Amino acid sequence: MGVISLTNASRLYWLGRYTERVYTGLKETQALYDAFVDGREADYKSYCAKMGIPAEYADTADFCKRYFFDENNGFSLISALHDAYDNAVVLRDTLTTVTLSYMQLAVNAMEDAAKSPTPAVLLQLVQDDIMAFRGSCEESISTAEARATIKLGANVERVDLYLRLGRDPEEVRQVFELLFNRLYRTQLSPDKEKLDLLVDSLLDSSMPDLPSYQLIGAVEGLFPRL
Amino acid sequence: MERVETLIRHQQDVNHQLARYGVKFGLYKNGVFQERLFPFDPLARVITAEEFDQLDRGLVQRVHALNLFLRDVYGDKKIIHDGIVPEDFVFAGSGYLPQCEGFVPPKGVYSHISGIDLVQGKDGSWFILEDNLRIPSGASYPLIARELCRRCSPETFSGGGIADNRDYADLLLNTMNSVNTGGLNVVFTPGRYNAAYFEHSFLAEKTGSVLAEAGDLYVEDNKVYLHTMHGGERVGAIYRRISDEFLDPVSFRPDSLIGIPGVMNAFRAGNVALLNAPGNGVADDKGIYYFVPKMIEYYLGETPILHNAPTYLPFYEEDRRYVLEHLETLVVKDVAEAGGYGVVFGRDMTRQQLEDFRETIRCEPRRFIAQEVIDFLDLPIMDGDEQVPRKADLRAFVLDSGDDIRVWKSGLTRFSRNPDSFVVNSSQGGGFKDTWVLSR
Repeated sequence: MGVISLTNASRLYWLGRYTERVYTGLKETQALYDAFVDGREADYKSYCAKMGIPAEYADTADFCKRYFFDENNGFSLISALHDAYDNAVVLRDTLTTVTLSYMQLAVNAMEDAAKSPTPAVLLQLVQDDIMAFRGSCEESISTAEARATIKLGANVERVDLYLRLGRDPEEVRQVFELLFNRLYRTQLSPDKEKLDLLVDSLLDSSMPDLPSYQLIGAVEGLFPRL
Repeated sequence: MERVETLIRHQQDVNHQLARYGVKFGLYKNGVFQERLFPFDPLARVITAEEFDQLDRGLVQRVHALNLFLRDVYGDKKIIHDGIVPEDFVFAGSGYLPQCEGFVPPKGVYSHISGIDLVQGKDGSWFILEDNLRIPSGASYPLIARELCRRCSPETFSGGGIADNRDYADLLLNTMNSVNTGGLNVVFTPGRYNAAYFEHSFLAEKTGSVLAEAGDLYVEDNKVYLHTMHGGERVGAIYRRISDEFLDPVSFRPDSLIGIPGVMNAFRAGNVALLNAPGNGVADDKGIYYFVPKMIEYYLGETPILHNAPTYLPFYEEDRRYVLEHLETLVVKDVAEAGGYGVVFGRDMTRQQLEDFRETIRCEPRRFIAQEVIDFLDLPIMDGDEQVPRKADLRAFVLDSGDDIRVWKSGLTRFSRNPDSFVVNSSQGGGFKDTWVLSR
């Protein structure tokens, strides 16, 4: 199936973004979860502040429970995974049933983890299933543009998250370079002004550094029609 | 049967696979949409080759006659003029659409995909329960279940003997291609929150069609296009999984937000095929069901191969008298309802309820049909580790491409999970089985 409707282009992009949000979110919160296992308090408030989400949790244990598994919390990882699933399930004709099944497995593992006294193993499965989903996208989606659109969404999300989390500038530059190279493999039109700002700041070392909030705003607004 | 025993041993694996592949149906409970796994029973219904041969001939005959009836009703109306079917039953029902008058769809096919519901009596004879000629659903479930059962229990299927049912997508694609007027094949869905969304997306994938919903398609100069990243792409056939009334706000319900504005004009101009054609409800109305054997005789000059369940029309005085006298032994169906709703068993009613219902029938005789309760064959299902008998029906799928009519060598067997119930619909808690047609 080589034709992508406008609606589906948007879904593919957001599928990529939400999937990345879960994947990176799980990795980035490992240290907080470790502290929870040890019974220590960790600086989850700082994490929330960087992510721009409310830190309305009683303590680290509450954070580890609700940030991961609270379906009624729109900022939780399970909500992001359900958002990814909601985009995937309406793309079966593009993704294929085989690829979609990995997303279903990730959701099943996350829901099982939410009920488990030992969720870490199941959360590992969520990451495994996301990786398998990505591999299956590569293997099973016949339309190159569809594959590129999912990856572009993931790249946008990763740049966004890395900027928020204050990752090393070289790491941010590398993921933005991936994003930039991928732009031309899709028919999506980025906002030129925002793209130029990001290119100048992240790829051109002769240009002055801009504050991260300005870069995050540019990444968030890169595709205003999606 | 050893094959079945083997499959039962792998039941857990099959259930895991069904969960993995999200084999679900949607329903609204207390106004909230929920997706549920469709309960699957591994004990397949088995139909012998000889039995299927008779079903095949009878179903082809029936669908052929129904398509001729639709062409006639929206054309010359000879069957009405000749007094075979009363005018009241054609024009008074909600299924009749005047917008479909005086136009013949591509290749003269109205019901491309027909879902014919049957039950088997205890003596082995088959009865038609109803014809579904609008948007019958269900083929995807035995289709994917077979695939998964083969994976989990290959020994069940080794050595052949069970007709392969994995050709359904090919049959459907062939039907779509046959009537396509030039352009993409599209499966058009009302969206994610439709009960049969799994099926819509699965069949789109398996036929290589585009899955589209409201806003994805538009009509220009009486031609249908898909909005794509590269502009409009012409559409030649739409397998629409949305009911007539919501299909086109220009021709039908103006408040529909889930249709394709102007698609009826494109259809009438011969620029796109709609599967199934709008207006088919006039032929699968529960009241019209009574006349299908007469249609077969009228159009084909043949004796019906398959029989209706013994049915009475309170519209006719003689039948009304019988129904009123025997109400406590009959099942009465509201012709306007579907999905297991509007079905009332006289034996379950109190004396007062019976009396009230008699009065309703007297006042609105056209609204109901009544049928003898067929003591249909129970099929075994697994209940834990035990086999227990349950009521079950069979939905057979018949595909008419305009060049030939084919019966899919499988079908959806639905069963009631409640031991006291005859209602098998998934929306009422029923489950499903695969249907094995033996190839020798």
